[in-house]
Amino acid sequence: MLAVTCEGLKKRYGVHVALRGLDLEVPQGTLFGFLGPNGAGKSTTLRVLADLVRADEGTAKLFGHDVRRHVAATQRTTFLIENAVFPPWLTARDVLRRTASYMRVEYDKDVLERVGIPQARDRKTGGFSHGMKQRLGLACALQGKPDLLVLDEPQNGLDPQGLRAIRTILAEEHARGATVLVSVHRLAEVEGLCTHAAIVVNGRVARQGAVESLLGDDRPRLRLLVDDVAKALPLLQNAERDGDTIFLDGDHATAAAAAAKLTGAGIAVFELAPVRRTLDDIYLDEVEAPA
Amino acid sequence: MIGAWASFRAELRDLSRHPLAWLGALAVATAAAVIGAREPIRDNGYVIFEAAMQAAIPTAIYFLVAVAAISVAGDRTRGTVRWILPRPIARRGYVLGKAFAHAVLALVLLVLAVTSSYATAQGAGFGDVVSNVNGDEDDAVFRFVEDEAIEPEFSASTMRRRTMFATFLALPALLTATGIGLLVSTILASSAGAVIAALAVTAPLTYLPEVLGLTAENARNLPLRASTDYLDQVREFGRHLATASWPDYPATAWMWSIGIVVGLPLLAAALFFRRDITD
Repeated sequence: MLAVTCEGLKKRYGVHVALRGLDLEVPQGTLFGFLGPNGAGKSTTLRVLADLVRADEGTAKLFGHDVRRHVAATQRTTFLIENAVFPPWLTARDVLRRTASYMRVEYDKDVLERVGIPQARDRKTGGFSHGMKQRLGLACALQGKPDLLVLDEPQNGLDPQGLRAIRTILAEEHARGATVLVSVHRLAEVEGLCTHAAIVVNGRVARQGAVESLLGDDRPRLRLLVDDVAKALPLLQNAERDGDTIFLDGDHATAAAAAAKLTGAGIAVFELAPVRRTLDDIYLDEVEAPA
Repeated sequence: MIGAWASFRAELRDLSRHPLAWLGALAVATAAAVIGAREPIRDNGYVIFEAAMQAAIPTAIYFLVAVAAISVAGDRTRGTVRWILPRPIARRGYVLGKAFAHAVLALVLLVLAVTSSYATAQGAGFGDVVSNVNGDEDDAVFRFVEDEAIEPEFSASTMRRRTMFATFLALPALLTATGIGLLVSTILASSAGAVIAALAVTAPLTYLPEVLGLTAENARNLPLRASTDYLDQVREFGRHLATASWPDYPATAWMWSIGIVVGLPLLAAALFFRRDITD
């Protein structure tokens, strides 16, 4: 069952094309990283899901309901779209109460503690720092225990402590069984956290799926440190040099063969290890690939 | 309509602490008291009451237009609309909830205008408002003997009460003002721009009959005209109330008034429904 489905989303703002047929599938119960550089179309996609922006073409569904036709589609979903902003005359408690009223759920008086700003309960949001507003925005999104949280760069403006809190909350919500769709452009913030990811480039999803499968799709590589690079290089196939390091395409069998060949030629092998590619590498490959 | 009730309650709370709403209330009360009291004919409370209302109602109209213009556009300027709409609140519910809240504000300002105008007029006492009156002020029997040959008899207190009631004829004008403000507010994303545009639209509408060369009868079909034709309406409506029959106030005027008062918020909601929120 899919929590989010986007099919062929296209959106143009005047001459600027934001989405060029974006397809996205977010399975239920996943912590889904929505990755892409600035201007790739992440925010526009999330705005379409929140029904703030109408796509020119294509459909967007939450739990199988078209977001344009059913307000019910968003009833199990909470959103934090870009920077959180609130009426400056309302206190944090007012904001949470009003949010609960809009959502027709119970006001959660403990949620401010969860996001780390319990002391701000009776302060007007007009005096909040950017980071505090983001935390309050997250608190609003956590109320009512939603089945799906859609968070657009929730880490914006947060200090390291806040970033850690966000990571903890995302993990807790995921553990609770909620689906979390979080858009980021700094991969370090979700690395190791996401179960699934999609990489958006130029208004399209370049790659998406389970993180393990995204990483597994890549060709295996080996890193090799030897005492004589110049002598070793001609003995190896599909190898390239980067300073004192040799990178070699291949798997474990290739590693064994290379080790045997090099030691047989009297070359000392200091290190021979598979290169573990990260989501960051895949992301950069996609972003830097020629259009 | 999902979210209309929540939107109504939130907007009503915001209006209760909106400086412009309070300034409007103060201006309406002051306009009624000061301008009404300056009316040269001081010996008749009805005349003073009418003069005070004719100052208070247009004042209320312009404040209502400005406050309504800020409503949706203000949420978009601040970016708070991104917090409200995905909660989930239907866009139509969001706009109509605001429309109802501003209608309440219109009613409050009207009551304030009537109250302060009445208080001002009370100083001079309510005397002769029609062609013939017998008896002293409180026990007087008013006798209409004008061309329509209606000859009801009722006391001065009845006349006062019914005249007060007739003042609610100004309500369509006030609701139209909120409708204009709301409509502009859903079209423009800047609250300052929306206020200027809404006032710029409202001001000429008040003088539209002169521009179009309409007869007095047709001019009354324009709801905003209720503010300037107010005196006639009060007299006419008050008199017909006295006969316990519905007035021959033009049916087209009622039709236009109701149509515009209901239609403007619906149009605003429909326009907002199609709009992208990109702020």
